[in-house]
Amino acid sequence: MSRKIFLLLISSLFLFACTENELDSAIDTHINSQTSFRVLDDFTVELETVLLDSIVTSTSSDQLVGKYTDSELGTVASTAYFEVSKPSDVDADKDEIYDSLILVLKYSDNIYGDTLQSQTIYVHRLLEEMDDDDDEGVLYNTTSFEYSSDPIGEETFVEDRYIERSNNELRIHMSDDLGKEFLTKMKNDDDSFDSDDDFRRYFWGMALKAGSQNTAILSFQNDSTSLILYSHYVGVEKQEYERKFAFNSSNFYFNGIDADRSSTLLKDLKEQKESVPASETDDKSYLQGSTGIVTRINFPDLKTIMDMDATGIMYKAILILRPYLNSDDEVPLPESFNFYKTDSYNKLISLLVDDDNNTVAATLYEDVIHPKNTYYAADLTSFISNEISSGSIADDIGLIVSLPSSELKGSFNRLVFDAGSSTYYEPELQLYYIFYE
Amino acid sequence: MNRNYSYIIFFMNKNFVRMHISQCLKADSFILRVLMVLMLGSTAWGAQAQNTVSPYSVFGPGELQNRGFGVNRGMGGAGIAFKSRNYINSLNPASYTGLDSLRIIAECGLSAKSYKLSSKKDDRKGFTGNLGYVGLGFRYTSWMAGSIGVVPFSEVKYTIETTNNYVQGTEAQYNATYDGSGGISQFYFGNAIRVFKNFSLGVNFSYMFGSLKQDESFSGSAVPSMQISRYDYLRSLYFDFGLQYAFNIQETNFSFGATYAPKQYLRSKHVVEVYNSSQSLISESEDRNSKNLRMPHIAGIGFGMEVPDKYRVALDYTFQKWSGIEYPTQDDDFVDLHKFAVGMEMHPWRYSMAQAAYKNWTYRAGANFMRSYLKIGSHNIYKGSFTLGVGVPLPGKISNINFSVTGGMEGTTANNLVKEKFLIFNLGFNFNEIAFIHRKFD
Repeated sequence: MSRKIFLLLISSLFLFACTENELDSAIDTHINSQTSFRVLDDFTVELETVLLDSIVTSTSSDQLVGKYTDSELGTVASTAYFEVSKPSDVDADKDEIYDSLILVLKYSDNIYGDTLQSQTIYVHRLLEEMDDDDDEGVLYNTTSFEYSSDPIGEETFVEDRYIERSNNELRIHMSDDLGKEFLTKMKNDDDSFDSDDDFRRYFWGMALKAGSQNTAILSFQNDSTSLILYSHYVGVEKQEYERKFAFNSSNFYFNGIDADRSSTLLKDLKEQKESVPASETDDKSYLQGSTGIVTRINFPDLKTIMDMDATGIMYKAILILRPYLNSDDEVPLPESFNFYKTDSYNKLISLLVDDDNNTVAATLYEDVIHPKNTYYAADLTSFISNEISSGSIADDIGLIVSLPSSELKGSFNRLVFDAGSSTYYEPELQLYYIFYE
Repeated sequence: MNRNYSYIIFFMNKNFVRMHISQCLKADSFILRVLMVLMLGSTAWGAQAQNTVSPYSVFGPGELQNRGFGVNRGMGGAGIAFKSRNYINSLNPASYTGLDSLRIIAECGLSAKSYKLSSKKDDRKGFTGNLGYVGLGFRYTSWMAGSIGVVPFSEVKYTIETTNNYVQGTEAQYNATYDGSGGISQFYFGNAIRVFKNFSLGVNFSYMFGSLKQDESFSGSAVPSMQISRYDYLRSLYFDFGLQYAFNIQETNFSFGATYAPKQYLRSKHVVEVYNSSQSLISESEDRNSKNLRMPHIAGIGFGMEVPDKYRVALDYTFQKWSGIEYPTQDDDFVDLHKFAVGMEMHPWRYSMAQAAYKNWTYRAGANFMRSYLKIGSHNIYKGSFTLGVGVPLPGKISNINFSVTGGMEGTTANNLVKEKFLIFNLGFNFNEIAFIHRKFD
C-alpha cells in the first residue's frame, strides 16, 4: 500500500505543466533562416497606347460641349445630344403673348482648354429620332444624328461663371420663331402637345455644338438642363407664364466626339487592335476620357517567374506607374484609374477585380513639392497570383488601363504615362515574395 | 492471488495519458509483459518527450538524449563495458548476453527536470517531466539474448526570436519567431550472442518515430503575418552495434566494451505548410523520404572493473563525428563531440534480510563531461554533470527501484549565449520475473 502512495507521489511530479516564453539571448544570431523575403522588381513593363473603337457615352452625367486642342492629344470636340419633354401645362389662352424661349444650362465642374477666349455654342434641332441601331440600349462617342443646318439658338460668351452669374447658369436665347410655334400649337390644342410621344415626334431633340473658333470644352449637368418658354397675358392684371421643357432622361442623351490627332505622335492611332508602343511616342502612353484612348501594359518577361528554382509564394504585387513630368499642366491628374483584362486584340474582356470582387483601382500618390516623386500604385496581387496558379503565363500577358467608366464617358480627363524616359521614371512591377525551404 | 497493481495517471501536454504499470511480480505470462511494453511504448509516443527546454535544441536533430536505464543513469551514464544481469544495460547491445537466465526483465523510468536558463540579459526557471523509457530483456538460449523497448532519442523545445532580418531588395526589417517542439523516440529490438566464453557481439535494430515541428512566424510592417510550419515525421531505421570482452584476474573482473553506429540518415516525411495571415493553409509540400536529419558516426569505448558484491567502476569515452554534418537551421559548422563518463557502484554492506533496509541498498555515483557538437560563434558548448543514486531492492531481492539525482550545467553566458543549470531526478524500475517455469502454487 505504501508503495502505491509512493508511486502516486512521484507521478504527481509530472502534473506540472511547463510554460515557456522566449529567453533573450544571442542564439538567434546563429540560426540560419530557411525563409527569406524578397522584392523582385526588374520585370519589363511595356506601355502602349490603344484607341478603343467606340465607348458608350450615353447616360453620362455631364453634357460636354465645345472644342479644344490638347498639346499631346490633338483637337477634340464634343457635341451633346439630348431631348426635352413637353411642359406639364400646355393649355394656353388665345390672348397669351410670347416673350422668349431660353435654354438653361447648369455648369458642371470640368473645363478643358483656354477659357479666356470667347466661346460660341450653337443649338441645333434634331431631324431624326435618337435610336440605337444595334438595340444595345446605348449610344457611343462615335454616334451622330442629323440635325438642322441652321441653329435654333446660339450664345457667344466668355466663360465667366465664377465672376458674374450667381446661379452658375448659361442661358441661351433660342429662336423666337420656334418659341412662337410652340405657343401657337398650344393655343390651337395641336396634336403635337397631346402626349409625350406626340411631342417627341414633333421635336426630336437638340444638339449643342461648338463654334469653329472655340478653344474650350465646357461641361453641364444633364438633369438641370431645361428649355423655358416665357409668355404673359394681360387681363385685369398682368399674368406671367413660365413653361418648362425638362431634360428627358428616359430617352437617349449622349456626347458625340470628334478627334483630330493628325498633328500628334498618335496620328497612326486608328484601330483598337493596333496599339502604338510608347517607343514611338517619346516614351509616353495616354489615357483620355470620351475619345476612348487607353493604355495597354505588357509584362513580356513575367513568365520567367514560373522557372524559378526556389520555392516561394508571391504575396503582394504592386504596379507603379508614373505620370510624365509636368504633363498635368493642362489637365489635372486623375485621382484613379482601373484595369481591364485583355487579349492580343486589346479587347476589354472584363473589369479587373480582386479576390473579394472589389474593383482594382490605382491610387495617386502626389508629391506637390517634388512632382517627380508623384506616382500611381495599384495592387495586382490577385491578378498575378491567379496567373501564377494557372500554371503558365502567356508571352502577351497584359492589362488595359482605363479611366473609371464615369470619367471615360463623361469627361476629357487625361493622363500621360511615362514609359521610361529615364530609369527613374520607369513603370515598375514589384512582386513581393516569401521564399522558403 | 497476490497481484499488486499500481496505477499512475497523469496529464501532460493536454493529452490524457494513462500509464498502467503492473508490477506483476508474480505474473506468469510472457504475452502479458509484451502487451504491457507495447502499451507503455505507445504512451511514450503520445506523451511526446518534453524534457528539453534549451534553445540549443534548435540545432541539429534536437537535444540528444543519453541512452541508459536506471542503473546506467545512477553511474553518470557510464557502463559500455558492463553486462546486463538483473537489469538491462542499454548502453551496449552486446551486454544482453549477461541477462540472468530464465528471467524476463522489465524496465521503465520517469524523469523530471528543474532548470534555470540564463543569458547575460535574462533568465528563466522551470520544471518539466516525462516518461523516460521502457524496455524488456529476455534470453533465448544460453548464448543468445535480446531486448526490446522504447527510449527517447532527441528532444526539441524552444522559442527563439530573430531580429534585424531584411526584406531583400529593400531596407524594411522584420522579426521572425521560431517555435520548436517535439521529439524523436527510438523503438529498438536488440540481440546479442556470446561468440566465445567472454566475448559477445550485439546489434540493435531501431525504428525511429515521433515528430519534430518548427513554426516560423513573422512580424513587421513590411511582411505579411504568415506562418510556416515545418514538420519532420520520423520513419527511419537505425542500427548500432556493440561488443564486449571480459576476463578475471583473481577475484576482480575486468571488462572492455565498444559501440559503434555508422553515419546514417534519419529519414522522415518532411512537410512544409504555409499559412496566410488569416491562418488559412495556402501551400503545402511534402517530401515523403526526406534526408534532412542525419546522425554522424558514433563510437564509444568503455572499461569496467568489478569486485563482485563490493564495488565496480566504469569509464567510458564516446566520440561523435559531427564535423561535416549539415542541418538546414545551422549557421555555424558543427564540431566533433567528445564525452567522458565515469561511474561507480558499491554495496557497503553484505546483503542480509536481517539488517536495516538501507544496508541492502546499492549506492552509485558518477560524473560526465561533454564537449557538444555545437560551436556557437567561437564558443564551444560544454556540458558537465554529477550524479548520485541508489538502488533499492524490492521484496524478493530480484526487482529494484533505482533513483538518482543529476546536477549539472551546459553552455555559457559569454557572448550572450545560454547557460542551463539543471537538476534531473530519475526514477527507474526494473522488474524481474522467473519465467518459463510453470508454478503450481501461488
